[in-house]
Formats: sequence, structure tokens, C-alpha cells
Amino acid sequence: MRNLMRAHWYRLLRSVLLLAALLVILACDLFLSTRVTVTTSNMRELPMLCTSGAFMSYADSTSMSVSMAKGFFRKRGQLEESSAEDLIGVFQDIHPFQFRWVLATRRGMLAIPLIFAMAFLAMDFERRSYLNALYTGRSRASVYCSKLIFLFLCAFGVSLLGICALTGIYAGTVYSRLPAAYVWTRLALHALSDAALMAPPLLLVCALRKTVVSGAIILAYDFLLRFTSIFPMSKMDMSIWEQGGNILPTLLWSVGILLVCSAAGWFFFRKAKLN
Amino acid sequence: MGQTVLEVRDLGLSLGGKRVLDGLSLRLEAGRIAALIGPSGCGKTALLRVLGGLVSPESGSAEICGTDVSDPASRKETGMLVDEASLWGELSIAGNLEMQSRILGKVDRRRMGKLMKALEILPRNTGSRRAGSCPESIKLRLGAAMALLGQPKLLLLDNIFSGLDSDDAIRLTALLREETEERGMATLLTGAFFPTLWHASTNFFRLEAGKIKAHYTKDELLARLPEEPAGADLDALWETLGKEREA
Repeated sequence: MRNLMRAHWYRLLRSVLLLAALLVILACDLFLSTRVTVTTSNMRELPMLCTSGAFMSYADSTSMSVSMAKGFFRKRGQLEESSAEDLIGVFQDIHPFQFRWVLATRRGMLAIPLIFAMAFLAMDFERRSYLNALYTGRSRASVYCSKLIFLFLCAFGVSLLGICALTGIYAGTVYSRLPAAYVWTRLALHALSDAALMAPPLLLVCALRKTVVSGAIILAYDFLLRFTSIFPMSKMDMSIWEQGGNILPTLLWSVGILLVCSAAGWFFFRKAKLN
Repeated sequence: MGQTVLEVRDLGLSLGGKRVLDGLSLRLEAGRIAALIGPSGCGKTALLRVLGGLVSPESGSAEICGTDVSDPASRKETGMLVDEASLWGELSIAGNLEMQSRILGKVDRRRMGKLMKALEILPRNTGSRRAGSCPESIKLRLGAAMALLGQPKLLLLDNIFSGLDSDDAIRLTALLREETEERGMATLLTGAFFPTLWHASTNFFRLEAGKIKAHYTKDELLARLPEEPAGADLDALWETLGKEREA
């Protein structure tokens, strides 16, 4: 299993097209995040937005560009000028919300683990490259498990890296202002949720074994996720935890989805005719 | 008599309602290069799929180095190329070999270099293109190199000579002989045409309708051929042997 994982890692580092696709998506995400983050330059225009509970709860459950937000609140008559003193106060208060805002608007990151699933599962089925491991004495179980663990580690790692990059760039002082346990727990749970979100398409790839068909379904799934919270964990509503509530149900939901989809994927992989 | 590397007993298998292996038995010893010759659909690839653990036989048994093929460990010292080379298309030729080395758990660059040189798949021969965009003959040679990479005790190559031109076939034959002499490797080649497998092989099995119908050694056949047999001589001999068997 360790050898198979090493081989996957080697392949990832040598797959120029895959790495290029990941970089493009990351760049697009960074660019898009500049359109939703709240900075000192646009804060003058958004004091009401930043302090408005309605705005924050809205931002935490769906993505919305700054221009959309302005329009949204302009209609409600909540956008107005504020004094410099107010702004300083707002700036002090804004960091936790900005952190949540950035987390809530980084849905594009999901495409990265989905691309991993395509490259490391669907294409391997079509090219029959699984056989190279099977022919050298590796069992189907070890081939499947190595793929699965590698994909989830990638999904988790990329997600964590992406969140850290975005929050680090656009909310640089967040980490010093928020409790470390809060920041890291929230980051880790988001990364776990992304890995769990990858599980259903992974199952589809194992069942269908066709790159094009699987790719189309995965894209549709990714598209759906951008507009619909079809899983409770996609919201990862940490307000429960912030209020001293139990995060175990959220955690169990993510882990449960991972386990169920992985087990179902194994059912298809075990039965699949690989020749 | 050398050590038995492959032993197949009364193997039976049906695929899609058709009986593809029907009590097939054969034994292969270390240091032999055997050719399994038969027409399309006679069960050559089906046998290799059973040996590769891709399908389970309905009856009989097959053992590699004394371990039943139902146990994946039986393939730890096996190199296989069945149907077509299974490559990572986005990687280079060297990248594919390195990937396979990592799966095997040992990256031996000298071994990789030796195989690439012997089969003329070095970047200076093939360019620095990705494996997926290489011509079929290069893919086949790369597939053979990947199968040989782990210094297997048993090498199984399916229909490889029909996809190689004569120069490539000569190179592969030389490499197989060298590996056989140096390490006592056993090789099972499959194909439909006797002449393409003649030079490389030491033993010949005639396979028809999923069953071994006859077994010949090279010495037996050499006695019935002119000193430097041409393709037509070999074709004629195989046909004659078939008729003799039927009679």
C-alpha cells in the first residue's frame, strides 16, 4: 500500500496538465475571492453591511459578490456613509465575520478534489493502468484503498491549503485576533467537508468507469453545489459550535458520507471487469 | 528438469456463455520460453487473464511458483502484458517505468536504463513525447519493459510479436534470451502465427478450443526443417503438424 501511495504521489508531481489545471482553478478562486472580501478600501461603503447580522448570516450560507451585496443592501436602504471612528470600530469587529465570509465564498475549491478524482480514478479505468498494480501481486483491496486514501488526503490537503491561502491573504490578521482553536477547528472541518463532498462523485466514477460520462456528472455535481446546499455539511454552520453547541453531528455527517460512499465504491470496484 | 514456475491443471472457464478454456493443462519450467499458439478466440488471452487474477476459473487450478493464482501474492514475481500495454498516458516513457518501479517498491535506474536501451525506447530513439501519444510498437516495447522491470520469475506476454516490426522483434527476442540465461526466467508468449514466435521460443503449445492439443520442443521441430527456415517453411510445418495430429 505504501508503494502504491508513493507511486500516486510521483504521478501527481509529474502530471503537468493536472497541476496546470489545479493552478488555474486556484488562481481563479483567488481572483474571485478579491471580489467578495471586505477590505479597508471598500469598508467606507459597507459599514452597515459589515455590522449587519443579516448580512453576515446571508454571507455564511451562500456566495455573493461585493457588488451584489451592495445592490442587495442598497435596495433595503441600509448602505450609508459612516465616520472614521465608526470604521475603526467596524474594522476591529469585522475579522471573525470576514473569516467566515471567505470560507463561505470559496466553493470553487471543490473543483480541485473533483479533478483529482477524475484523473486518478476514471482515467485509470479507461487506460487499464490499474492492471499494472494487480499484475505485480497487489490485491484489488490495496489498489482501491490506496487510491481512496490518496484522493481524500489530496482533497483534504488542497482544501486546507486553499482556505489558509485565502484567509491568510485577505484576512491576514485573523489568526492573531481569533482563538487558535476556533480557527484551526473550523479550517479542519471545512477541509473534511470538502473531502466528504468528493465521496459521491468518487462512487459514481467507480460505478460508471467512463471518463467523459463521469466528468459530465461531476461537473453537474460541482455546479449544483455552488447553488444548493444539498448536504448539511456544505454549510458547516459553525455558529452551533461558537455558541458552545456540539459539533459531533456535523462531524459524523461528513465521516458517514465518506464511509458509505467509499464502501459502495468498493462494491463496484470489486465487481468491475478490469480487463 | 528445471523448477516448475507455472503449472496449470484442467482449467475451465466460460465467458459470455462460450466455453473459452476447456480442461487446459500445461507446465512451464524455469529457463524456458514457451509459445502458446492458436487462432483468435481459442483461449490464449483468457488463460492470461486467469493467471493475472482478473477472472476466476470455474474449474481446475493454476499455480505460479507453487502459489495458487487466486492469491495475489502469486503474482509478486510475475511480469505481465495482456491485450495491450496499460500505460499512464500523460507520463513520459521513463516516467511510466519509474511509476512501475515505485509500485514494485524499488527504483532501480540501472535496470530501467538497461531495458530502455535494449528495447530502443530511450528519449533519443523516441523523442520526449508522452507515452499516450507514442506509436503502438513503442507502447508495446514499453509494456514489455514494464513487465520485465521487477526481474520476474515468470513473464507473460500476450500477442506482442504481431505488433512489432522485425527489428523490434529481434531486439525483444535477444532481451528475453538474455534474461532467461542470466536469471532462469520462464516466459509464456502467446500468438496466432507460428513463424512470429519461432525465433524467441524453445517450446511450442498448440491451443485449440480452450485445450492444449500438442506440445513440441524446438529440437523436435528443427529436425523437420531446413537449415535456415523461411517463414513459408515454418507455416508449412505448423500446418503439417496440425494435419498429423488430426490424423
